[in-house]
Amino acid sequence: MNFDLLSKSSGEWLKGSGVESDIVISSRIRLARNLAGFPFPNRASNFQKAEIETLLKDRIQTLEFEQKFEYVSLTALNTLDRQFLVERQLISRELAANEGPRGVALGNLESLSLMVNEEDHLRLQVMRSGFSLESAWETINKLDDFLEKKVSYAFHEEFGYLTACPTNVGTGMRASVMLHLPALDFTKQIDKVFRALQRINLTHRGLYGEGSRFSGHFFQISNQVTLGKSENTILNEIYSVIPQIIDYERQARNAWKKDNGQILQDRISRAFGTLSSATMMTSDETMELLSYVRLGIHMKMIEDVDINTVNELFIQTQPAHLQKLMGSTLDGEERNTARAKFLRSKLRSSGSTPN
Amino acid sequence: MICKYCSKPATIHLTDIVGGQKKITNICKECAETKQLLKQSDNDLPGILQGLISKHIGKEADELSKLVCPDCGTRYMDFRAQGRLGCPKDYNYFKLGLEPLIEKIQHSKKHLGKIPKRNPDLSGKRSEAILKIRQDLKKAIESESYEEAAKLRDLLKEKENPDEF
Repeated sequence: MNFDLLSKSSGEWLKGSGVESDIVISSRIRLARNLAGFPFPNRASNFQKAEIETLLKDRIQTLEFEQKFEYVSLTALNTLDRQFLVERQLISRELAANEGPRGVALGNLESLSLMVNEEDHLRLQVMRSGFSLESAWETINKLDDFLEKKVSYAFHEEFGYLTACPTNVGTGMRASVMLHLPALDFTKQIDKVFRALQRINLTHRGLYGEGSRFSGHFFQISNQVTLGKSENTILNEIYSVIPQIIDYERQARNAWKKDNGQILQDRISRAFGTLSSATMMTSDETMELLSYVRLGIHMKMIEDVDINTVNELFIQTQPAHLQKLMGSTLDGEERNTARAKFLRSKLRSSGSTPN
Repeated sequence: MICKYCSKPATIHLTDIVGGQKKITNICKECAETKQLLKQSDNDLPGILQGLISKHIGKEADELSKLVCPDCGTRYMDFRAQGRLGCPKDYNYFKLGLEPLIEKIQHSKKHLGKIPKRNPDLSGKRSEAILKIRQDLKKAIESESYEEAAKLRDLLKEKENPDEF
């Protein structure tokens, strides 16, 4: 697989298309599955992990599914390529950091990825731009059916699909929706939303999943509970709450514009100004400022900046992507210089603020 | 020293090396948590401590601490310390400790989702069969047909054998 080529596009999750895509970035579902008769990866020897990898790789590659998969072994990748796949959300940070035989099978549309020997033997993941959990479930459920015919999953009558951690047992399903909530975040109303979510057993995470920082005002909302409810019930619970959050965010944006329009305009213009003229930029600052520019475009408070360019910049300015695009490995300071230069070249050609 | 974000006294001092330069950020615990500046593991109770706590809850804990999965060699206490099970069969061997824990974190102990079609033994049919035996057993006990009850009990044991899945 040619990662250099991939680095030039934004991938499925930041494409910025689909339903409600001004606020909903992407929808994602993952299923945790394990093979009967093998210890879980954390307890398996390298020999057993190699056995699991060979078995799953073979079954996945000969699957008569609508998409073909290409298997990438993580042990054959250098640190930069691993980080690259993490940034694209095709693999987890855990898979990148684990040891021993492990890998990922990537679908040819970059919306499907099957991680082998992560926390569980198999983690199926599907990603969609915008708010479309339904279509995501349809795809992953079908893929799971196809795989199930070829392997024997560890399944328990009472507990359902068995997983290495009991927090995933049952459906093994974690469905999440990534939202861009700058106004709720800025006005601190986001904590209220999180508390309400907690009461209905939904949880929130940062951009790169569990334990990751809240960066660029991106938040992932997902189900906490995996047992005692059908997949459809869980999906419906998320499905019914997202429109309310979208609504709150829209209200917060409008109130912000109405009450403090000048301050908001200044913040957006400054963000754009800094991004298109600074000579050194950290990854964190870039995320924060791009977030305001994204908000500005959707609120029509900044003109002539292409939303696709901004969506792409969110991922292209991440450390591994930047180094791929520059064609060389760079240390922290070199990266900050290269990042600022890249941002300038992408943004200077376009963009002005209305008077 | 005060917190960079909220001006409360800073108790956490993060050191970053950026381009060979040391950069220290002073923050309070609250901001570190809300901004998720610390790794999850830094906040967690050490596994050993957790293990000790569960060891002291009494007789049941004592029994649990002796549990070992004959298949993968994982001890129940390993699971308590690390939060990860060793193999699918642990769900049966550690059921005594796992079931209440699962109920606590999942608010349920019964799977209601998808069932793999490939293992017909484990699908509804078998559950129904077990359910029927249980009902028959209840009836047998109520009507004091103890011989019948003993037979049914053995049959149930056989069907529910943890080694079977």
